[in-house]
Amino acid sequence: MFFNELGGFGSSDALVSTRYSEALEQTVVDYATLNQKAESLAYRLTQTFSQPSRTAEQRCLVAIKMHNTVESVVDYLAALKANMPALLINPELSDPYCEALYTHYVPNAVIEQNHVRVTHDTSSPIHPDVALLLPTSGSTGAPKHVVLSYANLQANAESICEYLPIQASDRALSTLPLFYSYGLSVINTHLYAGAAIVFSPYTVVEREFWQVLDAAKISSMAGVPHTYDMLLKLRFTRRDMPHLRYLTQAGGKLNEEAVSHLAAFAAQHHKQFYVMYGQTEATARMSYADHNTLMNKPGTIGRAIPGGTLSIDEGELCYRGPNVMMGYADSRRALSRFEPIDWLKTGDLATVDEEGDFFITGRRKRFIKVFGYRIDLDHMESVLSAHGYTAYCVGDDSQLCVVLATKERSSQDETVIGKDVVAVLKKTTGLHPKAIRVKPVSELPLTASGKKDYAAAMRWFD
Amino acid sequence: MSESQLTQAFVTALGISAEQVTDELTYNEIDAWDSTAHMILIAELEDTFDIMLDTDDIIDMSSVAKAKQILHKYQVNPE
Repeated sequence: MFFNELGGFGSSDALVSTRYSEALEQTVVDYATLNQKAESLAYRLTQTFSQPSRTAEQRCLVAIKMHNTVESVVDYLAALKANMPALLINPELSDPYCEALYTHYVPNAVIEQNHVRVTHDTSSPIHPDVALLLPTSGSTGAPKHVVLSYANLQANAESICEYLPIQASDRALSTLPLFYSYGLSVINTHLYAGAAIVFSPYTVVEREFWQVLDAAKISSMAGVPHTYDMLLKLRFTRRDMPHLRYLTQAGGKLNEEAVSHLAAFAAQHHKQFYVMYGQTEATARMSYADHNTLMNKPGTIGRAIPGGTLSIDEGELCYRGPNVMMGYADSRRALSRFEPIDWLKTGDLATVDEEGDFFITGRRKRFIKVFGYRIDLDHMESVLSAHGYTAYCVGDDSQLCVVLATKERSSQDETVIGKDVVAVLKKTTGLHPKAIRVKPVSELPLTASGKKDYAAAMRWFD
Repeated sequence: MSESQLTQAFVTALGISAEQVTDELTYNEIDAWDSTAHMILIAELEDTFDIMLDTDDIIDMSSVAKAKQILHKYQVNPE
């Protein structure tokens, strides 16, 4: 397993934290040191919970508040090395949400930036393969988590390293949250390859971000559609970026115009650009396409990653491979037994062309992705319902639209109610209010068969 | 450039009240002014004043005072 072989890369740079004021300030942790730090924290954890005396199925579980920092990566590696399942938590999740998660998973300790807060030392039956629990929605603290095994993590890292040009001399910028499967896969693959991961506290709209990019000689970046929307708005492809070798995009569909632009940029500047498709349910990645493919087919998600198979079953994209999760869990009790999943149903509708390249055509489930936030529309409806509102939530990847039933209320009330609905949704999703639109109607539209007519609801927002 | 137009762009993009829009207000100082809100702010300013901001100016617009300075460069003058 990659997390047990870190020491082998010796004095190569592993994790680099950076700041910039006038010049680059960096703190480098090499592989030998990283390994040592993770092992000593793992030792502390094992000692605290006297793991070795327990049977393989009786295990302790830790929760890790996963920041985008060197310390959090050490926490994560320590849990893996100590053979303790880890629940990764969005560090920005508010306390009530965290507490709710703890009541579901009863962690034995909560770890944040190398600080261990022990809560209890009672073990419970947890399947011996369970390594990691990743949130399906990082912002709402919902109890449902994806359960991944040690073998899942290893298999996906190996496979990604087969198709991405990751080299030991690379310095990848960690730009995505690490409790998010895509962000975490950047960490896993680079640790597997003996490459360096660079952390910076800046966002793309800050000058220091670009200074770090140049001074720290960043060779690759990973981004979700929202990241590339911002980068393209900043016209970053006009910059001279001599150290940058390749870019990857995943986490939702980037518009085809942007994909074409990035593919052409890569081709012209001897760089590489990859569009990848995946889900946390498959550890991270399921398919990829390089810029040569994307030049002709900007809408494709490409082909299955090495070791995996994609197929279409009644229109739905399905995937099989060693990176398919063990299953879902919504509590600690649910971690003891899992039914093996043969084919993972992605919930996405797809087609495949004669050359074997796949295209996503829609979603079976009602999800939208706005500004990088994955929003479950049905869940939003139940949140509003809990606040006393009857509404349909619809939308596309630029906005969340709410059709609100407001019987016998004056138009002045409507403005106030509209504002409250926006406030509730902003609080739940973290979404910018400008991306939330509310349309009060006297009656919610129904189809002829009496079902919710979402197509009609969407037409209110044309 | 009218002050009120500038203030209104900040109010809309950051979702804050007009009283909060002071020269001293800086990027990241309040939760509402994050990278997403920043890009929305840029779009608002470009729409309001019918201009196209350079990359450097987008990155340098790290406070309300800076925004005023930068907008002057685009010959967006107070009415």
